[in-house]
Amino acid sequence: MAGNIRQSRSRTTLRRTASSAPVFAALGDKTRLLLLERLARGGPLSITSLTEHTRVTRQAITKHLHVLASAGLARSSRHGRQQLWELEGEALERARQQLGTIADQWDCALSRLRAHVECG
Amino acid sequence: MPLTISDRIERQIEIAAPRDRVWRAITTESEFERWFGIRIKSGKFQPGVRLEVLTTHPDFAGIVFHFTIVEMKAPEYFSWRWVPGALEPEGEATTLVEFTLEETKNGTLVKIKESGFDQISLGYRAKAFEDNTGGWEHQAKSLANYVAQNR
Repeated sequence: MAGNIRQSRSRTTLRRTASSAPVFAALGDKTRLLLLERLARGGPLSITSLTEHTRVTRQAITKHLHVLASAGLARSSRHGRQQLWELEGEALERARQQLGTIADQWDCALSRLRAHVECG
Repeated sequence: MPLTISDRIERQIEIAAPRDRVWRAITTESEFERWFGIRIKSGKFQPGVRLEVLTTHPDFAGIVFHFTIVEMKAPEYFSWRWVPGALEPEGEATTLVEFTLEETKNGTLVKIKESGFDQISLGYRAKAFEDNTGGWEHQAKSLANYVAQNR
């Protein structure tokens, strides 16, 4: 019975957090990482200034920005006639925390392995 | 806020024991069960085999998960794929867990790498053992007791 309750809770968790995978997919590209870096240093920025000093077309930059937006890593807003992009740090921070949790669990497991081998 | 974020986890620990000894602790089912804190319900450590396991802590009993052994190269490389947790939906993507054992002056360096987080629900993976945090500590203590009693 308890197992069933736990299972259904996990199912909810799975659905609620299913959106974290795209963060890594979005980060797996040099241009997108460069865009994030620029936005982190000096956002909000227009597509024109984001395209400056890159070898990538404005269209490609726009496409990459939309990938970042759908992963929850960037957002745009309109200021008069100009559309400006800025960083959305929350998704990145969440992913970083989740990875930290998993890393801690591995540290614990490795400590137990050491205790098992060295004291056994 | 730093922007760099890795898509993999890499950890390591040095153990004061010969590599063959550490290899046995990791790849012998009965030993693995003890330090990892699970009980194997079905399957064995052999490439291509899918194991069904249960967590062993009383507060967390009955949590089933599966992993599939990928490669075993004694005494230095062991890998599996899994999605730990109560639920393994059909066709759910997995992460790859790799153990590498290196001989050092004082014993063995155990390196662990888990990769493939772009394929899975990270939140779900992170929570897989979350309820069990106290359980792992409890598990480490019972392990210490077990070892003390069975010297």
